[in-house]
Amino acid sequence: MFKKRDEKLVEQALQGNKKAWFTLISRYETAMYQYGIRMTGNSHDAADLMQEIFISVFRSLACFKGEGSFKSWLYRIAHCRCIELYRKRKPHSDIDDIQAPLCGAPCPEMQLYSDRESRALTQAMQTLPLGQKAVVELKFFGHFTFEEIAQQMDISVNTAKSRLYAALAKLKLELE
Amino acid sequence: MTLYDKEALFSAYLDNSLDSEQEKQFNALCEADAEFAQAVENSARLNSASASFVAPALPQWDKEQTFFKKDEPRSLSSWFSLPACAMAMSACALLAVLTGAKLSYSDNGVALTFSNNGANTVDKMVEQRVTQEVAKALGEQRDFYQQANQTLFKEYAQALSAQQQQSSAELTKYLLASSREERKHDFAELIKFINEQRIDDQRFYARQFTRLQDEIDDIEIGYSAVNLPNSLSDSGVNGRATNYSTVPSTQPYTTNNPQSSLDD
Repeated sequence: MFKKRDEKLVEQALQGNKKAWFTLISRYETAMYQYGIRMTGNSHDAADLMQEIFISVFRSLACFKGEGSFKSWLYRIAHCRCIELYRKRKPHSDIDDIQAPLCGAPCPEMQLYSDRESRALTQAMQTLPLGQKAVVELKFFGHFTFEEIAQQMDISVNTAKSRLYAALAKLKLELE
Repeated sequence: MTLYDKEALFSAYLDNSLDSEQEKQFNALCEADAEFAQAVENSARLNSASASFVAPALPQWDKEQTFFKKDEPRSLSSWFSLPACAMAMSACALLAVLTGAKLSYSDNGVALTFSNNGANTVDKMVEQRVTQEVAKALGEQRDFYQQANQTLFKEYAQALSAQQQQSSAELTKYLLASSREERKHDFAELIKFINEQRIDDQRFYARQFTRLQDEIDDIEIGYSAVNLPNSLSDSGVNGRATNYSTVPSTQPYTTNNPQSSLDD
């Protein structure tokens, strides 16, 4: 069975095909949920973020011209929604430098349904500033190139490299 | 090695694009720089963690909320179907303006009064506006004509001044020429007068000489007849008389054309 290309599904969803849209969601909902968990540190915010991301994607679907991959465009929107979430929660902080996690309380779902290393990784990522955290996320979990990361975050390639190196130097204590 | 070089080397390592030279530098840096080595180790652990990341199961969520009918662009007819409330409010506002409605507050309460001369008020406003516009237009016209007149006057004054200068020059030239001519005539008259005077003088002297000659002749005749014999008178006195008689009696005093000499 051949899988339909993302662009084809987008086209069908734009024509009002709900099934195509749900197919598109099912392809990326897990990735977006896990993205939300690593970026926010808890499953509730991750679920809210995922929903916001898909609503925003559907609203902007007509703007997708197919110049890049749908995945890259999706992560760009996800990053914007994540920043928006942080701005709502911490309106007086500098978004790129903010280090405190969105929710200070431990996430029970993570304790129950996740392994030790994943929990440690998630907790360690919450100590990073949002800008560094996003670069780590996109590089190691999104598997994007530095050029793609720079494009998605509206920063230079050198800034992306610098943020990643700084993040890994900082993560060393938490992961050990 | 600078931090920038480290970041570049680390990025090349992550992209698997290290050449042999960079690989040597990378290995040397891993041994020499603990922080760099730690970053490399963390990247390896993150790579493995990303593959085996376990997250809580995806919750049941309402996907239907993400699918909605998008707003269709407004058709032309929809712009004309304005809410009735807005239309009614606009009509009320128009009515209030035309009837001169006035809401006044006092200690006794609030009073809504309608002015009888609402139309007059509108007429006054229109008249006032027309007056203002007319005054404005007149002012503009006046300024325009004023500027035009000033320009014309300036040009006229310049032309007049030039004409006066030209006339003065011509008059001066004429005066000089006429005075020269007059002087010439005056001198000619003077010379003519002097020449006439000289001719008169010559005539006067000629008459004098003639009279003197006559007197001398008379004296000579009388003297010879009374005192001297004819022979004596012929030899002595007559000799002098002869000398006298040799003088031309009526010969005018000649000049070498004085008129012409003076004229010259």
